[in-house]
Amino acid sequence: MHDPPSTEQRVLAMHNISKDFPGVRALDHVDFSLHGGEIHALVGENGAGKSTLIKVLTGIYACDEGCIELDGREVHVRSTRQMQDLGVACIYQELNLIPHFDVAQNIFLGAEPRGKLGLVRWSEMYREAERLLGTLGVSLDLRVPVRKLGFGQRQMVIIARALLHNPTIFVLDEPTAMLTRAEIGYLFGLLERLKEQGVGILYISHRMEEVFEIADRVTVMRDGKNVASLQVAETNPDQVISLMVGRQLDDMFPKTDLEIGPQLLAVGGMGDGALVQDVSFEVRAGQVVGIYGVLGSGTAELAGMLAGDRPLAAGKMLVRGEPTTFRSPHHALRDGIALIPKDRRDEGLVLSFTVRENMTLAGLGRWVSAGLIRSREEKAVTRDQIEALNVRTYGAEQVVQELSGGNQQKVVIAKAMLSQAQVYVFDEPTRGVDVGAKIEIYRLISRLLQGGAGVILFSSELPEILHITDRVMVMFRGRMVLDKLTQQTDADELLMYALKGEASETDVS
Amino acid sequence: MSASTTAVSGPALSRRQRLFIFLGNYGTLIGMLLVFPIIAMLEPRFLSTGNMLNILRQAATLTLVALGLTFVLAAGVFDISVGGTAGLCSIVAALILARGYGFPLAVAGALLTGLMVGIINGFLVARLHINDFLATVAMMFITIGMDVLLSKGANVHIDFEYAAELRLLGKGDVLGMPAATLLLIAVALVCHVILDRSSLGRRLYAIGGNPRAAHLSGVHVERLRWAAFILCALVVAVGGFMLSARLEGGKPRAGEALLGDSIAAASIGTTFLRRGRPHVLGTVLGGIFLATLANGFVFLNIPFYYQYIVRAFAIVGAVAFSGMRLQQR
Repeated sequence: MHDPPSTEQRVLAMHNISKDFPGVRALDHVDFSLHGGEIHALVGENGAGKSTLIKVLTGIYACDEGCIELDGREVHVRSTRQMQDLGVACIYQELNLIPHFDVAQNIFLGAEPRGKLGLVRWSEMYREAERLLGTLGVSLDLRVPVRKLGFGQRQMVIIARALLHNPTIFVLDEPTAMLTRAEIGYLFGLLERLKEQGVGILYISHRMEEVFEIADRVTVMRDGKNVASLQVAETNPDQVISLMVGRQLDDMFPKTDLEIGPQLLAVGGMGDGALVQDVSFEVRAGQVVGIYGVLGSGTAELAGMLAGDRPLAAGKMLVRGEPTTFRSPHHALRDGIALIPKDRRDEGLVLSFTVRENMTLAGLGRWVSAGLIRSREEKAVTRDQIEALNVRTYGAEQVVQELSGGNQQKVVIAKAMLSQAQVYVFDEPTRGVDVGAKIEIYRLISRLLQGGAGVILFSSELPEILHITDRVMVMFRGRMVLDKLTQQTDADELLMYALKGEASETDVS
Repeated sequence: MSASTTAVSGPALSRRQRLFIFLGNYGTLIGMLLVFPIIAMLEPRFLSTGNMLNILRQAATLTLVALGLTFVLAAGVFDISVGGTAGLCSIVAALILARGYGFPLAVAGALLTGLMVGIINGFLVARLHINDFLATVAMMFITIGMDVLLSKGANVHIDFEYAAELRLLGKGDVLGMPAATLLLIAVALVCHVILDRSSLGRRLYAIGGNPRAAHLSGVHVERLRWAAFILCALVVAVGGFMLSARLEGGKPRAGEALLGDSIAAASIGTTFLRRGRPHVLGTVLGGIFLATLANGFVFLNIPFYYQYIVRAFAIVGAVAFSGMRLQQR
């Protein structure tokens, strides 16, 4: 689209690529190009087609239309192995390592140098591994089993493995999702070095600041189309984000002022005898209560207790003024408290179920007479909910496994809504979803509030907590250490309490 | 596969994909239907109405046991004891009839035996959280032991005067259909309604798909596992009764062969129409398919041991097809 004139050094050109899945067009005549010595960022919402495009490039999917050129020559993609041999290396989000193998064994997995009898030449392998890590500027003990390494180090092992075959095209799919800031800096240094060596780097990310830190060009995808390919120097994050979502972002947090209604849930002196102690708060209709805390502060356990998934050792709960106890999530749902769990694939959804079967699971009793499901009603309700929540699916009978992360999350929320909950416990509702889906989830929360529900939001994202909650509490080592109206606090204060459990004059570092 | 001359071999692959989807849905059925003309070519009498009805009659016992198994498979657990349970229920029913207590009491005895087995299996797996394979292997040994203990290791003969109803169920016809087949249809219908139309069935599938998500959605995972074992054992008990009817009496350890057959029928069934989900229609087709093979082999005078080998190919072939289909997605 917006290729610079120097097409000689173009290492990859994808022309007019289309790919259909049952009922959806995942890629719609996409053009994409990559130059040697360039870092090209690929951004877009979940489901925009980024990963499908990568899978076409790496040979996992065959495209239905279009062609791929590597170094100016047209390639007939047949297998992932073929693309590897042609110099395409890819790092996926999940790291395929064998935990009890050591670093060198993992790097050379399946490509071990072999002698005449087919035996592995171990000393040569370790020498080579040493050399390879040296060129990457990485120091790792080659004989340490990978399971003892941190996430960032594991990623280096994966990168070393990918670079073993001297790729000309290096694809990284959300490489920084699990990395610390220091590890990200390290990764970027490595990418810069590869770039100098003339490798073309395709970098997929959600994080705008990273794109603008490292990329030379950025391609935005939306609904399976290439919306724009821009020089990073000539654009800005706001423009890219609005291209991604197809609208302006001024209404990203659509918090409307609502009158706070009657108390829906109150807990007093609640504790589980170990990780949560003496927690008290209330949630009212139309109110969002945010609970913030770092990993291990007890927030996860508290969410489990509210949802009936974790027994109370102490304290009491009142639902609409009536004392109650939950022995299982069943009781919590019966009392109108629904959890939207953090991990939607493991805890939120039955992946082999259809959209319909998932949506109606928690409130199934509503459409049952004499033990039998009134299926016409069930279908109608599901259709309405798909429409109301704007779930991108080709129908109620699509298996949820096939939906993108944001749409899966909407199915989980729809399930909670269909259980007729009045208090929604959101645990990290926007983790791993893209900007567009994030906005939609916020809109949904706002709509739940207008319908008279109350929301408890567990989140580790400060902007989210600060923008959409009315009241915010901070947990530290199992206790509530701060409870304030959101407008009376700020990010610094929340962070300080979350990290130290108290306010202090000295700086938090 | 042919790499076409267009840039990337898209269309060729997608045709292949479509073929896989089609085969995934209907491959089993096509395979089953192919068996008929092949055997009929070699032995035309195979296709006679009498023989077709005979196949249905022969399919009843094994399919009933496989239907029981379908419940536990749907709930994501396994029951190794189905064969032993069917055998034990069969012996219990035969003994009751042999003592002259009559048909209704014999049915009740078989069902009660099944109920006990189901409750104990459920207790071991759902309540005590013992691994389902281990718990039901233990139950398998118990049922085999009880079977031999009660029958004293000898065939149970039922006097002619008490055996009329039993013979009708085993060999007789009602309204031109084998009585055994009518019973199978009735039980299959009930199973289908439970698994496919009821909230119980939906929740069974849910705990089979993702117990953790089901739990958080308010489903009582433990209770439903228990229910799955009880439903399974009850239907297996009906299968055990059918076994007595076919044998017109009791034979020690007659149920054990049903374990492999029912696993085969239910797994062939999962390859039919619904991606990998065990379901009633599939299980019934799987059971009829196995019975057809057995019957056809007898017609063709092929030694029975080849049947086992062909059965192995049928299972692996069917499951491989649906597996490939899943990969193609």
